[in-house]
Amino acid sequence: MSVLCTSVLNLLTLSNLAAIHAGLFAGIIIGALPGLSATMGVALLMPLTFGMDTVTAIVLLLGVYCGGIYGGSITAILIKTPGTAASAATSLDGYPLAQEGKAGLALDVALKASVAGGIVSALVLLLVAEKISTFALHFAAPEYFSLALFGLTIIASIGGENQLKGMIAGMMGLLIACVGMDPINGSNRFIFGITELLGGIGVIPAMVGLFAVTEIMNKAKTIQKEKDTVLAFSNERISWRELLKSWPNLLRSSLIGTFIGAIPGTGAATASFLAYNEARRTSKKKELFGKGSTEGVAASEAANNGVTGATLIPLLTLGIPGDTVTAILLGAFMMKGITPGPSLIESRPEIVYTIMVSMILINLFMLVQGRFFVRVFANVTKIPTALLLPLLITLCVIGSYSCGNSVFDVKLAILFGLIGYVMMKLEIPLTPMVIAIVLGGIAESNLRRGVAMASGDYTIFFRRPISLFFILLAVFSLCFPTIRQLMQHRKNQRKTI
Amino acid sequence: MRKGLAGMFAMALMMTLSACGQSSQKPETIAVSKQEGQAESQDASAWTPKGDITIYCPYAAGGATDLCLRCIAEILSSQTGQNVNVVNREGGGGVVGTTQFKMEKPDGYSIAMISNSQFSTQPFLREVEYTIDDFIPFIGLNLEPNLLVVPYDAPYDTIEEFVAYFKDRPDETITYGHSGNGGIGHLTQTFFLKNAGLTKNESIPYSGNAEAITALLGGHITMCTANYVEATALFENKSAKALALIAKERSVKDAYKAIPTLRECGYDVDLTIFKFLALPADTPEEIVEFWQGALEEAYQDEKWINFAANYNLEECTDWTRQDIMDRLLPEIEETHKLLQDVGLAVN
Repeated sequence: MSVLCTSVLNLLTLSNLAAIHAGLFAGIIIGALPGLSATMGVALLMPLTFGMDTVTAIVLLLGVYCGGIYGGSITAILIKTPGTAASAATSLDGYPLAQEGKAGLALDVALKASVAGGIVSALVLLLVAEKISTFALHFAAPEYFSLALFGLTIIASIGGENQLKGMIAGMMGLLIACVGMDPINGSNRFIFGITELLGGIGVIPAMVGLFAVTEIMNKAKTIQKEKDTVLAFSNERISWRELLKSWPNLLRSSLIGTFIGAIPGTGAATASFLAYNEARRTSKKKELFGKGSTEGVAASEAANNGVTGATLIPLLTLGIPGDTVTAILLGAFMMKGITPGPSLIESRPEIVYTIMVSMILINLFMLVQGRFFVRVFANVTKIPTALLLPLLITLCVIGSYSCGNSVFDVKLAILFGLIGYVMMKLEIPLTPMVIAIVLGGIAESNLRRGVAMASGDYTIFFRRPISLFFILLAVFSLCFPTIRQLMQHRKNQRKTI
Repeated sequence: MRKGLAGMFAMALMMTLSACGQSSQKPETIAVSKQEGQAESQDASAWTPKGDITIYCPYAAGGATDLCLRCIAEILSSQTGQNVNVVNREGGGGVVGTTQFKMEKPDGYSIAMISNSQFSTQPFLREVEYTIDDFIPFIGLNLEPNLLVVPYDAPYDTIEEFVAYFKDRPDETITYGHSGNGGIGHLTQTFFLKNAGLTKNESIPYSGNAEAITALLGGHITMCTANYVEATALFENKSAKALALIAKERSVKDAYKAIPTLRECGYDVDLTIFKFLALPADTPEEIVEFWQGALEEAYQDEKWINFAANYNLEECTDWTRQDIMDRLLPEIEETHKLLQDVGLAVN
């Protein structure tokens, strides 16, 4: 307990508090800008921390990370351009809400849910990190594959009215995920002699194209017709009490995020889609999902910020970096001559606990800063469409350029915009495609890795309990809508008899 | 109101642009160093840069290489008085960035960090559109020796014990992880197992060393490779131990001096990643000389010395153009044979 007290006192220095604020500020802006991910934000600011004290440096980077993950939601809601892949699910309901003039409400829900998710994750990190890390180590290729498979079944339930069209979009997304260097053999696939495609098709350019460019084209059509209408913007807020009424949704989503965060290599985008789907499945107002459900926004945001604290679990308890962000943090530790892991917990627990406690503080500060940003960014809704669209297309170009510093990604985004437009005309939903692009790579490489691990034996996916569990979950989630329909049908029949 | 909005958007755009350029320079330092730069350029008619300089990094932001380059960029910026930006062009194991760099004008305003694997392994794994003749390597950067690691509680401590252990258990499959097919970790382990006569093995490619190490600690694979930064964490936490070092000579770092090289253990493989800085092929000699001098000076900077020490870098900053070519050319032949040997080469 005394360690905890010392670490709280350690944290509460002027420079640390300033670092958290600076980190959050930079993070939220970087996250809100399409193309710049939270990971990139951490990488960009890392050189600035060379001269800082260890804890100050780490809390600054964590601020950037948390802010970046949250910041993506702002643009996802306001202009249907998720700043990061983590917020793709947020735009599904956030943007319709904004179109109804409820942008303020959606932004407020997103902020509060993000903070709630972040705090749940931080508490898990603080209280049960070691137990979780031992469990997370059980995850190998077969488990990752089954988890990704389960994630892919979301396509079936999210596909909209026409399941077949959803499947078509999903399959196309899986094909797109195959472009580039084969993850196992390293051979070239579908690159048609274009070197830039070796790295695969990035999630960011694809998403900017499918979501934002498509929407811009769609809006541009009506620019001349209607008198320039400016969306209504009410400063509607959601009170904590109101939000906590749906606490099962919040808690479940946060825990999904925490769980995904603790097993390295899957990422916040996966977490938010999983949580969104679960929220939809259990909601009483299912019909609102996709058309402006605050529950959907809350689920997605609680989950993606739930990832933040949990990604630190493998790093702090085992000393292994699970993903890019923690790899950068490991670098930041090493620069100071400190090696994270069990030996650090023993020799200098105050450092580890200070970092854990800082996650709670970061989330509380985010609530304050988020309010400010929401107020500033909300002005976007007051811009007349005729002015807004050219600005947005500029932002899309810059965003897709900056994710890989290459004009090729800009061309990709525009191409995906056109594809998205055609799909929209054919009433093929776009979201399944994005989900498939996000999860396709994880599913494929781990399927093949798993088979290699078992020397070609495919039963490995069913022999391992955790893997089997997810496969069963996938089957259940795939059949659930059909079973429910059947039961409904039967009930109705009985009534008529 | 409109004005405010326009301002906000302008700010947002600037943030993106500056983030693209990734210049973390403070205005004051630029102003001061500009004067220095002018003073320098007065003494001779030699070439000096008079505009923004770009350093290509073919790997993702935040990795060890990227951080090295950012440190160097900062030093070069105050040396030359110009903005020096690190630009990440990742993908395809470095092939994407290297190919793009080939297209750059040879005017001295674009420099690239290139690794030997771009020439010694990649051209034999896939078709690439460049050769070493498209570039002028002008100074070395660092070596990245890898260690062959196994879980800490494994019943073997040396390469001999490892081989003996699995010779006694011919039914057990050895699974080895690495950061991608054709990479040095993959080649080395394949070569080692083949020559040790351990045929029941399975290669598991991961998308990075970190993932492979996670799998090692979870007990899902038998062995993998780790670089110095990763290994330090593993050893201090007693979660893994090293069987051998994959390098030409033993490490100069105290922490790894005791670890024998794989060659010492009787396996003739010592592929080591090394990185150097290069300019496009047709760059005029005076520009090459300028950058050579500038980098030599930068490597003496206190900032760099501290960075290299803290990051446990094994430097090869004293390698000249000749040294790099002398090492690289025979290695290309050698690796090609090795790749054909283990059946990975496509040509």
